[in-house]
Amino acid sequence: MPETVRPVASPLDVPVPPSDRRTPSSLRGSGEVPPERDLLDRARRGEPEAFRVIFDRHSPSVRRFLGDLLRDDAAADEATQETFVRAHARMRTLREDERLGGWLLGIARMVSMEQLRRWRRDPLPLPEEEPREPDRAPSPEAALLSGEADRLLDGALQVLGSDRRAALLLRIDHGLPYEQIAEAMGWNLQKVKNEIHRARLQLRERLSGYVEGTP
Amino acid sequence: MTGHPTFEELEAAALGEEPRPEVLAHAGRCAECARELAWLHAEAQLFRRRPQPPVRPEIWERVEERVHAPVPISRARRWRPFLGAAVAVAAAAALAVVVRPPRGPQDEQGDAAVSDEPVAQTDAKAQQALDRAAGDYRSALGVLEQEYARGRGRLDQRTQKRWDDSFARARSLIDASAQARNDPDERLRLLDGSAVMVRSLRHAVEDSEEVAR
Repeated sequence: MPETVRPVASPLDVPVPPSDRRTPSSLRGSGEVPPERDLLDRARRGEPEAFRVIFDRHSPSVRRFLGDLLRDDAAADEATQETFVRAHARMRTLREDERLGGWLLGIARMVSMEQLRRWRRDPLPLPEEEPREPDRAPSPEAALLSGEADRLLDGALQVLGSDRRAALLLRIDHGLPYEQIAEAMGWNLQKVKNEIHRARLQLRERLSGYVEGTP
Repeated sequence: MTGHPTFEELEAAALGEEPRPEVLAHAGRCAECARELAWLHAEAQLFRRRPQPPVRPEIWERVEERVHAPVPISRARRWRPFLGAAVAVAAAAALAVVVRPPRGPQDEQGDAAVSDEPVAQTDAKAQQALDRAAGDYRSALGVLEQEYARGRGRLDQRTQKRWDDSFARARSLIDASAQARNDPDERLRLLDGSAVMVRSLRHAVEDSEEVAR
């Protein structure tokens, strides 16, 4: 893997001095679970292995979130890739008090919005109107158990506007606290609460039969 | 707990976020809160038991390729037309200066009232073209400075200083070119320097995620 350190761009193209280039430590496969801050610091210093660990750790939730927002597997894969490329370039802008997971999901949401805008400009395909069957491969048992619920939830989520859906997913599916959702969505706290509340009401209206029927 | 727990407390309990024992205790004896808690719990289960889509290995491969690409894909910027126009005008000015016919000995003898006219016209055109080039470089620099000002706070102090110095140098070159109005060759040289600086700044702004964010 070529070692590349991407410095903060400056008008004068100052190369990164060799002393700033650390030898990547072997983080993967060692059983070591580095704390997130430590991992981030290493990734910021240009250790490719650290960024790989960040990808391994967070790409499932980013991919899941994007799959729910875009409802198209190829587009969600593409957007996951774009999210991590942007995250890599902006690593230095992550504040000390920001959680990496929420920050990544915030970038993912921006990427998905850009994709949705492109789809709106170019009417083919329209994923909101013609949702494709998710190309997921659950076990037969899982498919049997959750098929009905998935379909209902899928339909209920489609009814929600994309912003409202994103906020609800961040809260329920990804467990982000309201403050982090506000950062990821670029909203104030009250708006986050209102939108999630309204999303829940819409969802309940459609799911009430199923949820009340579950033990 | 005297009253009902807040919605957020119930939600936190349903999502498994360190539920306060008194919230659960209250829900144990309050039918209304118990029902809300059950709803929230069922809702969370419904979301969370959905299958996890796979992360295909190709995604990482592409990420790796792209983060190590030496030149980022350039983004369209609204100040591009300024720079394009400035370069075109500067090129026209350069041409006008280069094709200006050399003054012959008769010009120095003061009998060139007729033959001096095309030269004067050429000089005026060249001056106008250089004026426009300088104006366009100034406009382009102004737009770049605005872009930079928006992201300046995200850069560290050392980088800020490098950026500030570069902007100051670009501006001083353009100013110096205005001072050299009577020397078209010097003016052209200074404008060439300005073009290089503006181009360098444009690339830097394009490449900087901190500024372009």
